[in-house]
Amino acid sequence: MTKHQKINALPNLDRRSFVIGTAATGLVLGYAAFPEIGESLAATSANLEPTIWASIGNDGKVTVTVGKADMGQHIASTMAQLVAEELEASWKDMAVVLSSNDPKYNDPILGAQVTGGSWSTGMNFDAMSRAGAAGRLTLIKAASEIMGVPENECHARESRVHHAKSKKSMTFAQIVQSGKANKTWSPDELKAIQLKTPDKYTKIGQSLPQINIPSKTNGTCKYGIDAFVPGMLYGKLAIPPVRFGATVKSVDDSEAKKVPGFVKAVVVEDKTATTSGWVVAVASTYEGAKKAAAALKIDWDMGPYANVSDKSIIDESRRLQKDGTEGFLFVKDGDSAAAMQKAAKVIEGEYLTSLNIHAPLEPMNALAMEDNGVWHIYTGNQFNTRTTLIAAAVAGVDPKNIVIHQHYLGGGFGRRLESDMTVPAIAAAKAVGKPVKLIYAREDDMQMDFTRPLTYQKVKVGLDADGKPIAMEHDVIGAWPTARWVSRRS
Amino acid sequence: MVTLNINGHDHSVDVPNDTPLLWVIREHLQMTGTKFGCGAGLCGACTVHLNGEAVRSCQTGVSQASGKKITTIEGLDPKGEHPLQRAWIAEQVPQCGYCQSGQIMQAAALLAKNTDPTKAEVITHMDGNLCRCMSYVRIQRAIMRAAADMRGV
Repeated sequence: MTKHQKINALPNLDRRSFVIGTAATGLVLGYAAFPEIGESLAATSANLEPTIWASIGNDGKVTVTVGKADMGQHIASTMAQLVAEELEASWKDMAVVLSSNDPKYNDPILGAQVTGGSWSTGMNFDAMSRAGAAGRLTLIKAASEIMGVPENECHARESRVHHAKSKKSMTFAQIVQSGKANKTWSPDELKAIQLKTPDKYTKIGQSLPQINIPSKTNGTCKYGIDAFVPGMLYGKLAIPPVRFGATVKSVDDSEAKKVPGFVKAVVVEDKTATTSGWVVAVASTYEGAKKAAAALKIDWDMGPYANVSDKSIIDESRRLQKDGTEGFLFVKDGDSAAAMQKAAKVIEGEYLTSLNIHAPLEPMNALAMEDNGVWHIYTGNQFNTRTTLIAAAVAGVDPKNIVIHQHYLGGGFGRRLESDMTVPAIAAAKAVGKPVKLIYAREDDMQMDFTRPLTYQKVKVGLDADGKPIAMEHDVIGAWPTARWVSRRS
Repeated sequence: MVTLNINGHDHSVDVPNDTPLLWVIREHLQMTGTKFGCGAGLCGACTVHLNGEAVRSCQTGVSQASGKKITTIEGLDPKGEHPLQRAWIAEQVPQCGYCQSGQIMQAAALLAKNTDPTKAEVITHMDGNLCRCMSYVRIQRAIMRAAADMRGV
C-alpha cells in the first residue's frame, strides 16, 4: 500500500478497462459506429434486409441476427425486442439466429464480439432500434405505393401497415412478397431516423416470453457440445496436476494403444500460456478417448508454479500488505493516516475470500474442423474476437480463415470469455487430420478453470473516545485475472 | 452389439458393455437433449427414465439399460407438450437451459406417481438436480403448476 496520499496513477478500473486493455493489445478488429449495411438483396432474394441485423422473410417472419453470446441472460430475445419495438412487428413473428464471428457483426459500440459486464442492451440499443425503424419505414413506403395512398398517412402496427382513412392495410408478409420493399440504408440515413420516445413503447419495458425457451424444454436447443460433423473423432484431455507452467517431458501411450478406437496422443503446444502441459487423447468415441487419456503415462516437468497453494498466495498477500510499497489507491477521502493517529482505539481485522470456480454446467468443449484451409470451430463463446485470433494462431492461418459457429452457452459466468477450449481441439484436429470434438471432463473443467482469485483483506478502523469511527483503511490484495489480456507477465 | 429401446424405438449399437448410456444416447445416436454435466452422478443433467424411474444416464451402463424402456426428453411427449414442458414455458423457467432436460425428466418421474406433491416433497425429489443459473424457484413453481394441471384444477 502506498500511504494514502496521491491518486495520480489510478488505473481505470470500471468495467470498460477490459475493453481498453483489449484495444491496447490490438485485439479489436475494428470500430463501427453503425452496423455495416448489407448488400442489396432485392434483386436476388424475396427477403427484406434493410440492415445486417434483421431480415424479414416473405412469410413475415422477422429474423434478428444476434452478435452477442446468449448464456441464459436471453440477450437474443432482448435484441429481438429492440428491433420489434421500432419495426412494429408482432412478437410472435420474431425469431433469432446467432451470428458467426464475421467482424461485420461486431458490437456497434465495442467494435468487437464480446459479451459480458451487462453491456449488451445499452450498447446495442441504438443500432437495433434503428435496424427496426429502417425496416418499418421501408415497409410503409412500399405499402403506400402498392395501396396508392400517401406514405405519411400510413402507420405500422403488429406486423401490418395500415392506412386509416381508406381502411386499407397489408401484412408485412404481403409487402415483402410484392418485392417492392427493397431499400438498404446508409449509415447517415440510419442516423437521421427519428426513434420513438419511451412513452410510445409497447414492447420495451414489457416482460415478453423469451424466444428460445421452448427449445430449452424439449431438448432441441443446440449448445456447443451438441455439434457434429461427418467423420469427426473425439478428444479427451490428459492434464498435469498444476494449473499453469507444466511442460510435457514424455508420453508413453503403450497402454492407451490397447483401447479400441485409440488414434493418437497429441501434446498441445502452449502458445497462450494457458494450456500448459496439456495432452489430448484422440479416439473414435468419447468413452474411448476417456479411457485412453487415463491410460497415458505422462512425465511432466511441473514448472515454476508447482508449489503454489492457497497458503502460499495468502502468505505473499500478507507480505505485500505489510510491505506497503506496491499497489494503488482505489478510494481516498481525507487523511486516514493522520486521523488514525488521533484515534483513541484502533481495531484491525483480516478477511479472506476464497478462490472461486466458474463451473458452468456445460463443460468446456469445442469441435474443430479444417476444410480447404478454413477452420470451422463449433463452440459457445463470450469473446469471439479474441477466440478468433487465438484459434488462428494455433491453426497457423489468417484470422479471416477462422469461422466460429456460435452456439448457445450452457452457462457463461465469464468462463467462456476464455478461448482455451479451442486450443486443444484445433491442435488435435491438426495432428490427426480429421475433425475433433473435444469435451473437458468435469474434473478437467474444474481444475483448468481461470478462477476468480482469492483475496486477502486487511481492515483497520480508528475510533474516538466515544467509540465513533474517525478513520478507516481497507487494503485488498488479490490477483487481477484479466491482466494477462493486457500484457504478458510470467 | 447391444439393443436399446429408446422412446419406443429399438437401436442397436456396437459398444462395450460398460459404456455409459449417456454417451450412447448423446454421441452415438445424436439425441442431444440429454446433457453431460459431470459424469459422476452429481448434477442430474443426464437424467433419463428407465422403466419410468429417473436415473443418471452417466452412471448407467448400456448393459443395465438393455431390455428396459428408456425415455429421454425427446420422448417425454410426442409434441413436447407434457404438462411440465407447458409449465416450464408458462413460468419462463430456463435461463441457459442446459440443466432443464434433466430437471424436467426428474420432475416427470415424481408427477407420474404423485400429482399432488407438497413443496417439501418436490424439493426432496429435485434435490440432486443442479442449476448453475439458480432457476430453482421457478422450477418449483412450474412443477406445482404442472401438478395442478394434471389434477385438472
